[in-house]
Amino acid sequence: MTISEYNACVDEYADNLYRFMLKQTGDSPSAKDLVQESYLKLWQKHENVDYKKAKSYLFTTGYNKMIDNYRKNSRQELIQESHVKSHMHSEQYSDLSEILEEALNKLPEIQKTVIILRDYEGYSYDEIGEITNLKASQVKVYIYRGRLKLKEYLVSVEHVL
Amino acid sequence: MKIDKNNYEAYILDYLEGTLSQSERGAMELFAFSHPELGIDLEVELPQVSSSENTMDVSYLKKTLVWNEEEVSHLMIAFLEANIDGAELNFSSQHRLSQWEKAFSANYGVLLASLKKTYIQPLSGVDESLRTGLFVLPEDHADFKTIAYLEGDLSAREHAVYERASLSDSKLNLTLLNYGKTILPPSSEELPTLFKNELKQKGAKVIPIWLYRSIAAAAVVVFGFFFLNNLDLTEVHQTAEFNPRTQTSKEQLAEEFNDDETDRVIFRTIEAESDKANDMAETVISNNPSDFQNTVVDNPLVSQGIITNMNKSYALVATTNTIPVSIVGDYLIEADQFELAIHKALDADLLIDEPFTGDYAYLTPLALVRRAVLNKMGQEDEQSLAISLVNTSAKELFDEKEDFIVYEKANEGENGFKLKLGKFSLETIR
Repeated sequence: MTISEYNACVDEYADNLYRFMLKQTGDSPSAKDLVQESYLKLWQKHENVDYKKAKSYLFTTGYNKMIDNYRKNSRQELIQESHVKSHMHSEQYSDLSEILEEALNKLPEIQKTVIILRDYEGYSYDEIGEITNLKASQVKVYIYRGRLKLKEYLVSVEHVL
Repeated sequence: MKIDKNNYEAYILDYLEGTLSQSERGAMELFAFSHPELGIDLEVELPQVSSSENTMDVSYLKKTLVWNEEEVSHLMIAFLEANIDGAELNFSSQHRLSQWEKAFSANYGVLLASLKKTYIQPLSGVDESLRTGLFVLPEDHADFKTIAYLEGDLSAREHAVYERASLSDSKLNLTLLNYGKTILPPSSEELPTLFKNELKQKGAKVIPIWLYRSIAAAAVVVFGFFFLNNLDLTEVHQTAEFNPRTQTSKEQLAEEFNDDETDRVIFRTIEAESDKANDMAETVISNNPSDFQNTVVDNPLVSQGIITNMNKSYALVATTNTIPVSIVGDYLIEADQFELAIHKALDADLLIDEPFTGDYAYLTPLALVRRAVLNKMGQEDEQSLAISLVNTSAKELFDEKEDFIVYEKANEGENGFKLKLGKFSLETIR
């Protein structure tokens, strides 16, 4: 990949990668850090990375770094944060997107990841599998299960409302 | 006649022979779709009938799902082989196999165990795959089909059948509606342009002359702030005076931009320009963060200015009313806080958009500023001041020989500190 192609990758994919990371972490500074680290690694390896594979490389790198960060942080802390977030939003909903966001955050991490990649980036099962190191068939199952849970959550909230 | 469980087999044959009317075909498809437990396959090919025969065997059409070990074995072997290859069994086969498993779990288990014994190598992972992978998709058929429809996993024919069914079946229609809501809406979050530009990389390429000059313009301003920054604010009790340390700063700057391109740029030192400063204006800002947070800077040189509290530091974000320049200043600020200040300013739309694009982005003033700040952080004190120049066009900036804004700070004791803004001309010589 040339320097021009690398810089084109910034123009083309940085926002997408940021949105993916933001949805995963729920925290803008962390998402920006992950974006920065991903691009840094891409730059370090740019001579060996094909331009056509750059987007996948960036998402894979960002995803792996995010997982590493999760592992480094204490599990307890994550659970507490998750609890606080869910409690904060459990009383009032402004619109469907907020409910959906809430539902998305209740999914197991892998289901959330594959659905975000599917809906925001339009990735195929194979491409998502490449990023998340899963088989395409597993990706499909996770997406199906995730959708089922999202639907159940949305319907249950509608009943309450 | 209405198609029901008592007469559907006759309709299947007519369907496959193509003798049903269009409405009857639709009714048959809807019936097949609504009764997955019957395992009706409307896409099966009829066996060839020889001309000498007047009858044909239609027993295979009587799909009341009697255990068919041959078919299950065939599907199961395909699955086991696919599993070894790391491949995926096709979708309809997966579904068919899962139907068998549900209907004949005992037979299914025995057959699977016997088939696995035929493999020399142990089939590690197969059980796990069976448990967590292929066959525990949502069991409810309407859910399964609806998700497949939304994900584009249905064949063209299945797709059409589903659409017809969803139109005539209000329950299915509601299911579709609910699943449609699970598709995440487009997200509009974007990274600030300056952040993205900082991700870009510098290449060894020829740079236009006007850009040299722009680099010089930006660098000189940063240079100027090295001088301002060298003021020890804790010791100054009156309006600060310039106290340049030109010798070291100039050398530092040469090191900072030590490459072939910038070697050719000659700077005129900032003190010469600062003598020309005019239109100085002062604002006293409280020491108390709760007072100065979001203070609007009342200064004739500033058309839009705001002080924001950044925890232990502050940021001034201002747009002058004379030239299209924005200032971001930080005081007693950590490196990461500086980043936050920049992004906070961007979020508030107080900075003018970054002008550089493409390969030139790495030359942005912000990048220079950041380098300067990071360089400064490595020195003996922890103070840092920085300026970010952002203009609609670097070329215009140079050609019009615009003035620049500098600012000084002075401790005002209990009253806070004095912020002094000054305008000066900048000249570069190539």
